Amino acid sequence: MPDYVDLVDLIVKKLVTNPDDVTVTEARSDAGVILITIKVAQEDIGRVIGKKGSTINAIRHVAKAASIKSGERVDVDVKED
Amino acid sequence: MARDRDEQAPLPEIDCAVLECVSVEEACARGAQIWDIKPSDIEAKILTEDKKFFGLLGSNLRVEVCPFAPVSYIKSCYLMNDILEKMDLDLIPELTDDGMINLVGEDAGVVIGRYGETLKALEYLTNLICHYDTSTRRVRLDCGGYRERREQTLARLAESVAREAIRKGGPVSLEPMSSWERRLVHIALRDNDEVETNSTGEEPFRRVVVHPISDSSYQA
Repeated sequence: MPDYVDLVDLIVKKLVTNPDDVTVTEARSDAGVILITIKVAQEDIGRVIGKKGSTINAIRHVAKAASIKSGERVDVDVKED
Repeated sequence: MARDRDEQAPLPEIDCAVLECVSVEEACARGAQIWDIKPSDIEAKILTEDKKFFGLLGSNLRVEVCPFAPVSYIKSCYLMNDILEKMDLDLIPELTDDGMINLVGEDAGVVIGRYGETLKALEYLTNLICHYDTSTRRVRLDCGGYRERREQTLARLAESVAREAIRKGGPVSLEPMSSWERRLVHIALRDNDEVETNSTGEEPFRRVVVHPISDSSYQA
């Protein structure tokens, strides 16, 4: 089984300037969707989202590809305060 | 159109260092520290060897060490390996001489994704993380000959869009594509005297537009 939290954590920690401030959590909705939430330092939010969301979309693609074999549904979001 | 040509950028230089040490193993280990890569990814060449007391006390070596490929490509391979493992996919990255990481294994279909979008996402992320010198060629990902098949598909698509533009007598635009794909379309129609191609829009929605040369509304 893929570990979505570990996968997203690995990628995000390499993208940001403050890897120690990265937390990635997993929640399962009633509909069975696994929602991965990324929390990073304020100044790193732009790095994780990217121009026009290009970076967060790439992360979503990778997480979704990881879920194909198991048939799970997964989505990734960035938490903004 | 400048961004459509970045596939032709030069490969990153490979740094080398000359170290004084007692063994090739030591040279590889120290080289690995310099570039923060694995000792097995270092190539070592002995330049000179001074035997201490006729070799009875070992030797002093001067060894030239180099990473076997550009460091950013080697690190991209490590990153791909880690990501694929966490994705639980049975694939191994193999680096080719021209800066392509070929993903080899059973889960090829999964990693390519629809229209290669997963491969593109991984390529984008690995370059963002590992490839700092944007004047040099980015690392590219391939899997199971996907790029070659896509190249043939795009060449066929380009030809049919060119015919459509000529028939219609006006510009025809293609779907948004990556710089690599747009470049393939430009190349496919480069020798076609009846049409011209250019790219328009902003990433990630940048697309190729094919204009018939007879189209008076188009100004080059």
